[in-house]
Amino acid sequence: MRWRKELSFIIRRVIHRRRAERELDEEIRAHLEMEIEQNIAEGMSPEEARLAARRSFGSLALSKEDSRAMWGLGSLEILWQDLRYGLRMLLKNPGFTTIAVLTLALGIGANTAIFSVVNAVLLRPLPYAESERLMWLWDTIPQLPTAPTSLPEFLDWNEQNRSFEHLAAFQSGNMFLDTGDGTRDTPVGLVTPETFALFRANPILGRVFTAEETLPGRYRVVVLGHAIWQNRFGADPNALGRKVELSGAAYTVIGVMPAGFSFPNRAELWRPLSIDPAKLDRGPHYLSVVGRLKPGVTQAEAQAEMSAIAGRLSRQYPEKNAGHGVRLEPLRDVIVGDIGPALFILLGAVGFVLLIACANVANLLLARAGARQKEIAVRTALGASRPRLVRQLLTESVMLAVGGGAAGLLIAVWGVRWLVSFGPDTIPRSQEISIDPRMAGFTLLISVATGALFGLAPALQASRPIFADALKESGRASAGVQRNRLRSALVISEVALSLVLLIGAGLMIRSFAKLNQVNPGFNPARALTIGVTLLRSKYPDDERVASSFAQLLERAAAAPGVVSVGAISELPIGGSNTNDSFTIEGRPPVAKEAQPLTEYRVVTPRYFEAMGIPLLAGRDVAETDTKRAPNVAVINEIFAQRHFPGENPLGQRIKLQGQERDPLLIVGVVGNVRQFGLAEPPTPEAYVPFLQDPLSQTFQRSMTIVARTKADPGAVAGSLRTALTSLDKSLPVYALKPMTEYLRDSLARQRFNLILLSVFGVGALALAAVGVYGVISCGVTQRTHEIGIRLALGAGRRDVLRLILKQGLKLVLLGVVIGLGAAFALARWMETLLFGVRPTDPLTYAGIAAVLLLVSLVASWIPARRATRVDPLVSLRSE
Amino acid sequence: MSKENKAGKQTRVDLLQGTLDMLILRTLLFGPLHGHNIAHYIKQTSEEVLKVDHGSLYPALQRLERRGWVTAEWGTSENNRRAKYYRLTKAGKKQLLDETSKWERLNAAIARIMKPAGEES
Repeated sequence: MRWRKELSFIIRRVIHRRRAERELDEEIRAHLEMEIEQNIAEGMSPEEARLAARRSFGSLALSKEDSRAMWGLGSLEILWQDLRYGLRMLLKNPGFTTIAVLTLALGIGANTAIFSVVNAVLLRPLPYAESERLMWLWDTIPQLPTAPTSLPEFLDWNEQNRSFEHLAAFQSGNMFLDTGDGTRDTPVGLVTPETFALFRANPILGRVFTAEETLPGRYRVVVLGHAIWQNRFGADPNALGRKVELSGAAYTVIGVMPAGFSFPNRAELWRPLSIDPAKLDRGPHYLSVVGRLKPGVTQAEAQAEMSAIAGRLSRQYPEKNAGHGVRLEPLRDVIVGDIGPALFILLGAVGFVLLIACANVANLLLARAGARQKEIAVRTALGASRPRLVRQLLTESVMLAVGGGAAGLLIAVWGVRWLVSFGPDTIPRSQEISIDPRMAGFTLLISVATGALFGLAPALQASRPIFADALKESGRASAGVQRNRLRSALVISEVALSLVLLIGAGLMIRSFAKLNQVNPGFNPARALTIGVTLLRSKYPDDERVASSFAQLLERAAAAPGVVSVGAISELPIGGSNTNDSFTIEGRPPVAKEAQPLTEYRVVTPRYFEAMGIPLLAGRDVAETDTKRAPNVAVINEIFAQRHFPGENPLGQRIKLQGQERDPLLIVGVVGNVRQFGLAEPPTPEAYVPFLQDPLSQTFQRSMTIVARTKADPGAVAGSLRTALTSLDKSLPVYALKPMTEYLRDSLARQRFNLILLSVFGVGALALAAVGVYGVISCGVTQRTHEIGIRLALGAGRRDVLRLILKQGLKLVLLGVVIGLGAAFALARWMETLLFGVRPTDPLTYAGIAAVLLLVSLVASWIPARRATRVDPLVSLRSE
Repeated sequence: MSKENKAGKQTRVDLLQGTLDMLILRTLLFGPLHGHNIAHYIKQTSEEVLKVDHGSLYPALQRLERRGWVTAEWGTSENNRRAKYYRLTKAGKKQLLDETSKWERLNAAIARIMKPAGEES
């Protein structure tokens, strides 16, 4: 019953708020008047009576506020009041509010975005069941610690091990899929049947491969990926049994996988790996192997067992397997690769940005607390209690923080989208990146905690009772000194932190510049490349292949705008590597595991010319270097230097492993080419003529044609394609792009690091500049009086300017010194990301420090100039 | 406003929270009164020992009205001034009774503890 009465009291007061206010005013006024009358009646003078009445009443405002508090819902009411008041205060200072909210949004948004990426790429398990039991098995051969394996070795591993539930071998690559609506370049996985069981991936339609389907002549079946089934079969439930053409051969669809399964390497289609028990060769190493550990078996135990098996095999087959071992690595580490250090550095960098942002907002709030001294003093005098003031100020800063958090979330959403757009080649697992709800909670937590943290300090300080002094003496309150010291400390740390970030960015910029200066060994400008594959269905034999390639090259050369044309099996930078060990004729025999390696490429005549690779000695491969002529090879400079020092390589003969007779006669030496990226030093290479291809029984069916163009390659692309397809309309041509694009793509990871660190660095610089500006500007305001006296006593404008600039410079210099020290200590973590620059590169350090000093000087010059305009008369009178 | 003043006021407010309510209810027992009456009544009957900031009376009156222990209506004062008169309700009388007995028990208990000490000194 009682609460109902109480509620009706509240409702009446809320609805008739104004009347209630008026009545309360009237009641109190009547009270005071009665008191005055009574005082006069007791013999006081009217003035005395009035003062006595006010004295005995106490704080009018407090009495009213406490009375009003009885009309509402208590603390909820106060909160609502504080929120409204806070919002009004924030809107009254749009500059302060905008900067504070943006600063926080930047810090929180960037952190959430980068953390989302780190979480998805490095922290979350792979999207497979019990993925921590998945291991990659490398074959370690003497020359290469992480090699693929050979088919017989895989079969031995699979048969002899007791540690793995399943072992699966696979190859990945692109094939041409024709589902009746044109040929398309499609990523395909050639897999052993265990692959699906190993990943616990079950088809949503049909079945996966059987062991028999790996046998010769039985492997003409495919399992479709979800995307292909949707896009090219219209999600047809009757797709099973349909025929498709894969690189010219007919296959039958037997199953469809669920969405999200795309192992290996973003495969969209699977075909059985063909295993011919009659042709097992331990020579070629081309298979990747993944295994699932049995429950309870550790990586170390499995490693020990596999090493024992490998040791047995190398004794059993000393000819081919000598020195071979096995190395286990968690699948996740292989997929994630070496992006870990870069991501952790970026995470550290955004952490710095958040620290700077918080320092900046704390700084802003402190500055504002100074400006609000008077307001707070007045409110204290009117009876506002300290907890009440703290609460009010805290409400304001939490509002700021929540605003910043909300804006930060927007930035995070946008930032993640932007980061994902760098693509899976830059960020592995990028398709798994998303902002999850926990991350949103994390953001909110950061923002509210930040608000409480920096909101509380100024609130406590500002509401300290001494502030009543501010009523009397504006601008020279004793607490001001302490606050200035805190603000200076904040600015110094902002400067130091942003210097560290900028040095990180500077080192990346220097590395990037160094990378771009690297001579790739070929001339990428005006080199247009296009991939061509001659499918077995149309070009059944070697003769057709050879004559067709000759025709294609001829037509390409005749295309308008083309200067010269050649072709190669694997492009530098863009292609994959194929290498082999070799021996040099006439030298003492070398144990197999000690034999040197060389890259191995198949080229047509004039490839070097088209690519702009200089011929240093001897001759190019020629049309006359055919199967009927003696085998020849062209080697690169480092091959010559390393293996024929002080000798003439021309006329020497080398024998590749797997080549039984007819060694290769070295007929030419060409310049080095950066095969694996600009940062990788060149390695020995052997180029063999297309028409000889001594390691293969048949000719290459996939070649990349390189055309040197007269003008911009983009303008020639169309006519080159037309020239090629004029021979065969259905000829699969692909990867039509200039060589410069391959170079650019090869630097994608570095560019990613560069852009991100630069964005953070510049953001930090801007925040630090705002911080410096704020402190100096506030200092000028506080010292107006002092400056007025100085001017009145005859100081010149220049002296004042110098005085203020000196104050700013002192802070910044201190920050720079601390920052340089911190950068020096931290930069070594960046070593793996750098190229051609030491982490302690003095030029970068000096340059960045200079930039920071300059920016800070400008930031303190603006308020300093204001100080010189102080009118001594006005400033002294303002006392 | 000096430091002690503020600190002193705070402790007094805390102390008076319930007591002031009780005093007001007690004052209203003999009939409706306005705020000024109440303030002086408390002051006089306590022989000026209890000094109540008149300002703190009004929040207390609002609180009592909210609880339903008093009702208020406008009337005319002894010197023909419009004033708000507070009247004790049934619930208010019951509350006063409860408070009084509680207070008496507390008072007796404190007195038992304090008396011997007072005699010894």
